[in-house]
Amino acid sequence: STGDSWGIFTFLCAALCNLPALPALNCSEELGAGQSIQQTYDLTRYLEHQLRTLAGTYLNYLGPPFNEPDFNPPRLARAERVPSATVDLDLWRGLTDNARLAANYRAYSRLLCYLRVLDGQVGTAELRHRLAHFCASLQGLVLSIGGVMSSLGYPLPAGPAGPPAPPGAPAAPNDFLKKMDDFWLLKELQTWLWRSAKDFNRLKKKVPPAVVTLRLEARGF
Amino acid sequence: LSLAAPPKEPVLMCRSNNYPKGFYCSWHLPTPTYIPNSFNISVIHGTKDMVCEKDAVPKNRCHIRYLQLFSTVKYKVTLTVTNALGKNFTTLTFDEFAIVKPDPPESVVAKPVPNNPRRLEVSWQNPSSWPDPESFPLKFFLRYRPLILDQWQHVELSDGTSHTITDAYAGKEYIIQVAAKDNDIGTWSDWSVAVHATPWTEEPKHLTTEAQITETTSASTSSFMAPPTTKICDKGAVVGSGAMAVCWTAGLVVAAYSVLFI
Repeated sequence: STGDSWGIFTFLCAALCNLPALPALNCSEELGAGQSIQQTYDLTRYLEHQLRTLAGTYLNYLGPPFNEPDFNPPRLARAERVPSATVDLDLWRGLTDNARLAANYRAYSRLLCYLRVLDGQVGTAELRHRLAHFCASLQGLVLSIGGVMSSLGYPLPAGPAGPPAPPGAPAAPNDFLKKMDDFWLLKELQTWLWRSAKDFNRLKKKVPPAVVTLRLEARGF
Repeated sequence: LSLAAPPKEPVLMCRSNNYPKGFYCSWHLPTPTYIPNSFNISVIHGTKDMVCEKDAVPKNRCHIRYLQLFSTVKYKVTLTVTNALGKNFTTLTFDEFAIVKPDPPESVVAKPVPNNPRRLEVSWQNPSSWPDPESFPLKFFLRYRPLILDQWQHVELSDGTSHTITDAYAGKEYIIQVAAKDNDIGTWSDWSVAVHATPWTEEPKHLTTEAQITETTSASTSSFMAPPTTKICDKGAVVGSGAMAVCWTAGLVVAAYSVLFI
């Protein structure tokens, strides 16, 4: 039944939010790092495509002004809970592979939690179905990023940056602000997926030499 | 005699052809006012006012450098035009990603492939205005058709700056163009300058020395009288002894046929 599915999803969200670092996989996993990065990149593109449909449906559900193309609200302080993809250009360029991957991992883990909260509250069956499908794909992305990090020997971030927000708190004081929260969540998700494509492009180019180095070190050269 | 007029609503366009460095905006009036106009442009990003630096050339254009990348907040550009008789304005609001449109690929070259009558080798370069193709790779769209047909063939290429067409009609002159797009965001560039090329043809268009001698001694009005250019036996087009062997062989074949027609 759908109730059991939501229960499982909620459990998975809680588990993901509190995931301890996975033990680093052995050196033979590094061979797959390049391919995993490509797969992760492909996943971000797939999710970006999925999100377009989901966001369209969801914003229509929220109604005007949220579904108007020119809607350009100011960023309220409360919206800063959602991790932002926005970054200084030089800083972004200078990120180490580890930092780059970790930023993606933390962001999507957090965004997934918030989406799950959304999932429990939306009105229509169609929307619930789309959200559930998207959350499952997004969870796949988080695991894929985790896999890349482990295969490169990086520890997984201990949990989402900052204290994990308990579902639904602090609750928006009114219906309009609640909708604003939802709007910004979708916007940040969209922006993160665009950013990740660029992050993984950069990683694609940089990883292969590092893989070779790690393997030599493992053999005691 | 033209009457001076207040400005109509100006036409404004903003575009990022050098992502992630920044973007530029350019504008013009749809109809002349016949008196001097002054333009003022303002750019707001969230709560921040940004300065769009006017370009010396061309006029009516300014550019902005991005301070931050992957922004969720839209940019709002307002252009106001004022003259002695009035003012008018227009506004554009857009996301950072929406205005990304590279310049067309440069140095497009198309060449026939020796001994391959249905192939054409096309190569090009990234537009020089695109600052960082390593981190922001471009993908490409190639279109080609023989001059005699209206229907284009299309190929989308996610990697590399060259492609071999393998289904060209033998002996037909082709027109070829390439367009570029950021791999993930924005829109396709305009089409590049068109290049023309004809696939390699087997039939020698210049007769060799042997065949020419045979021609003049035979009484036939040969159908092998040469149209001006050749692809194999031109000195410039051919390198190496293997190709020369082809020339001589072709010459012998021509000579043989000429003899048959006496």
